[in-house]
Amino acid sequence: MSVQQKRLASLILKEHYGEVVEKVGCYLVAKGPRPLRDIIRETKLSRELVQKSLCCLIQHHFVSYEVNKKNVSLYNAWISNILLRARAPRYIYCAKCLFGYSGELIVDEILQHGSVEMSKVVTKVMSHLTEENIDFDESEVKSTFADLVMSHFLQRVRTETADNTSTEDDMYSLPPGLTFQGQGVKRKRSIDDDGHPTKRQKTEAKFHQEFIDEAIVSAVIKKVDKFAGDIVKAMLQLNELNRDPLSPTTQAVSLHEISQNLTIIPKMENAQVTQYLSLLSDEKENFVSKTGERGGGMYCINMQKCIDALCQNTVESVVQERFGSRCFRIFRLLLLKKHMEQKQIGELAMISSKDAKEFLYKLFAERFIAMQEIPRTSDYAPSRTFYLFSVELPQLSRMLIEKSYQALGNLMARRQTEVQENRRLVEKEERLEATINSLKAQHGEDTSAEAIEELRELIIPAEREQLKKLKLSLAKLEQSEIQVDETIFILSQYIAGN
Amino acid sequence: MAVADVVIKQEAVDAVDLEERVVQLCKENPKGITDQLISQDLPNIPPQQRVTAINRLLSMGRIELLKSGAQLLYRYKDAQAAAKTKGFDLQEKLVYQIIEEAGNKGIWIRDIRFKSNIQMTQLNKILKNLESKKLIKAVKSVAASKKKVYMLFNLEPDITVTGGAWYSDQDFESEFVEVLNQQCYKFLQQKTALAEKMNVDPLAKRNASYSSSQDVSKYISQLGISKVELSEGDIETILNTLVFDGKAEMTLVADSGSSPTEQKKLFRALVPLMPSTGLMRVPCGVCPVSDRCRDGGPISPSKCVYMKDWLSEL
Repeated sequence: MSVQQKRLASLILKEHYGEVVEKVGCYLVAKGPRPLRDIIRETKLSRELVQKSLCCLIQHHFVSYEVNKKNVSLYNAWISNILLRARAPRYIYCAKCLFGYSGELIVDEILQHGSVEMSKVVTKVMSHLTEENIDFDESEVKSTFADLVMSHFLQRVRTETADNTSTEDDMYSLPPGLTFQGQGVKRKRSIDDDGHPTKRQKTEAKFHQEFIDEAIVSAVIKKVDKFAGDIVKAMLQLNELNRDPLSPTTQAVSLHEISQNLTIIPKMENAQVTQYLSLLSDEKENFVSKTGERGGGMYCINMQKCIDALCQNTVESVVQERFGSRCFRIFRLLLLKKHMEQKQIGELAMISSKDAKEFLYKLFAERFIAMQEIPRTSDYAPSRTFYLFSVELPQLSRMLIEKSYQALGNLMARRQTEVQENRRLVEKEERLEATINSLKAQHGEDTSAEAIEELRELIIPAEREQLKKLKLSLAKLEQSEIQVDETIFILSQYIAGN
Repeated sequence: MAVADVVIKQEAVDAVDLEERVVQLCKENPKGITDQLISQDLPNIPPQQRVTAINRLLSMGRIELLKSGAQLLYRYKDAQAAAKTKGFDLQEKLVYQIIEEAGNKGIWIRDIRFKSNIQMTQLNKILKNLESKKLIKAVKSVAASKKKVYMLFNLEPDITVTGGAWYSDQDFESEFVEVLNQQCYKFLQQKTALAEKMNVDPLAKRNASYSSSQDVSKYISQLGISKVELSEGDIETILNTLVFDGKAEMTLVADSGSSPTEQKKLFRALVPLMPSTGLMRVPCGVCPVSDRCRDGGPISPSKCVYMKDWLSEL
C-alpha cells in the first residue's frame, strides 16, 4: 500500500460512493483494523452516517469485519479491492463480448450493488430491457445468469458460518430446483472475493484470466499468425475452468483435443497444427511446450513465461517511449546480457562511448537500471572498481506500477476538476433537458418544436462549443484511464507471479 | 720492417676477423650476448683487442649495448635499422628504440618520457625531429580523443587504436551505423514479406524468413552505401544491434558446408508483441516532473500544462 494507491483509492471512493464513504474508507485504509467507536470519533461523522457507509463498503467487499477477543467488531479495509473498481468498465465489456447484452446488464447491475440476490438482478435487468423496448424473455436472462455462474464469472458470497465447510462447487452452485428462483441467495462478482488472505486460494480471478488469455492470444497472433493464435486460444479454452493459478503452466492437452476445438475456417489439417505447435515451442519466448507423446502429442502453455514476456514488453515499451530507441537498445542489451560494464555496452550497442555514457546514466538516474560495484581492492577506489549495470525487472515493474497508479489518479483528478470547472454549464444543460423532457411528458409528442427550440437557445453557441469540448475531454480521459489500467493489470499479474 | 709489416697486417686481419666473429655470435643469439661469452668463444684474444673490436662495432652501429640487471649485453642490429638511425645522437636512438618496441599499438608520450628519462622539452624536440624525417608518426587514439600515440611510420595502426570500420578520424560514425542498421532491417523485412507470400506450410515459411549474415553482407555491399569494405563480422555486429533493438531475432543452425561443428547465424525480422502500453499513451507516462506532481502543489494534475495540450489535441 503506497501513497499513490491510497490517493487512487480515495479518488475512486469519492467518485463512485460520495464523500462520506470516502472519508470512512480512507480512514480505514490509513489506520488498519478499527472499531466503530474510533471511526466515529476520528472522522467526526454521525454514528448513523458511519454505519451506513460501512454497510456500503462491506456490501462491495471493500471492508471486512471480525470480532476480536474482547468482543469488539473491528473493521478492516482491503485497498486492493477498492483499486479493482477502476477496472469495472473492462469487466462489463468482457461480459458483453462473451454473453451479449444481457450479460453486460447483469454484470453492470452486480457491480453497482457489490453483492445482490439473483432474483433482484433478473428483475432489474428485465425492467431495464423493457424500458429500452428490447424483447427479451426472462428465462433467457436467467440462463445467461446461469452461464455466468457456470463459467465462474459470478460466485456465491460466502456466509460467515458456512465458511470452512463450503467447497469450491458450492461457490458456483445455482439455487436449488433449477428454476432459478433462489430467494435470498446473494451473489457477487467472483473477482471481488479476495476476502481473507487465508481463503484466497479458493477465489477464481476469472475475469483476469480472460484478460490474460486475450493478451496472450493477441501476442501470439503478432508473433506468428492468426492460425497459431487460434491454436493457443483453443488450448486456453480447453482448461478454462480447472486452471490452477499457482501453477506456472496450464494442464497439458492433446493434439486431438486442440484440433477439435479450433474455430478458424478453413479447418487445419492435423499435420499443420503439429507444425504450428512445434513452431510455437521453438520460439525464444517458449509460450508453448510439449510435455509428452500421448494422444498425438501433449502440449501445455507456459503461463508464467507468457506473463513474463508480456510484462517485459510493457516495460520495454515504456523505455522506448520515454527515452527513445537508442536508450531502448541499451536497455534491451542489459536485459539480454544481464550484467555489463559501460565500455562493453557502448561497443555492443554500437553507440559512441560518449553517447552511451549519457544514455546509461540517464536510465540510471531515472532508476530504470541498477548498478553493482565490484571493487578489486578493499578501499573501493573508483579507479579500481568495476561498475556493472543490470536490469532488475521485478523491482522495475513495481516502480512502474506505482507510476501507473499515479497516472491513473492524475487522470481521475483531472477529470474531476474538469467537471468541477464546468459545473455551472453542465447543470444548466441538465436543467434544460429536464424542462424539455417534462414539457414533452405534459404535452405528449405534439409539443411544439418551436418551444423546444426556444428553450435550447438558452445555451449560447459559445457555451455549446464548450460543452462539446468538455464531453470530448471527459471521454478521452476516461478512455485513457482504462488504458492505464491495462498496464497496471499486466504489471500486477507479473508481480503476483514473482 | 717486413716482419713488422707482416705483424701489423696480421693484426689488422685479426681485428676484422674478430669483429666478424663477434657479429656472428650476436646473430646466433638474438637476445644478446655477454662479454663473458665472447671471451669464452675467443679464448686467445687479449681483452685489449676485444674491447677495441667491440668499440668499433658499437660506433659503426652494427651492434648495440643493452643493460640487463648488472650485466652488459651486446646485441646485433640489422643493417637497415642501423642505416635509419645513422647519424642520430644517443637520445634520438633511444626514443626510436622505445617507439619501435611498442609496435602497431603505439606508445603515449608520457610513457616514452618515463622509459627514456628525457625531459619533456627535449623529448618533444626529438619527436618532432623524427616525425619530420618520416621515421615515426603520431596517431590519434579512439579510446581517448586527446591522446596521441607514436609508432613507426610504416606501420598500420592496430584496430584498438583506430576503432575499425566504425571510426573515421577517431569519431564514431553513429549516422553510418544507423543507416546500416536501417538497411539491414529493411532487408530482413523484405525477406519476411516474401516468405509471407509463399504458399507453403508454416515451418517452411518460417525457415524462408531467415537470412544469414552472408546474405545481408552481400546485399549491403551491392547497395554501395559504404565506402569502406565491410567484413561479415562487421555486418554481424550491425545485425546484433537489431537484435538488441528487438527488431530481429537470431538463431544458430549447423552449417552444412564446412565442418560439422561450424555454426551459421541466421537472422529474421520481428514485430513487437504488443502496441505501446496504456501508460505511455497519457502525458504522465513521459512526464519529466511526475515525481514532483502533487494534488494542490505547484505541479498538479488539475493545473498540468501537458495534460491541457493533450486534451486540446482533439
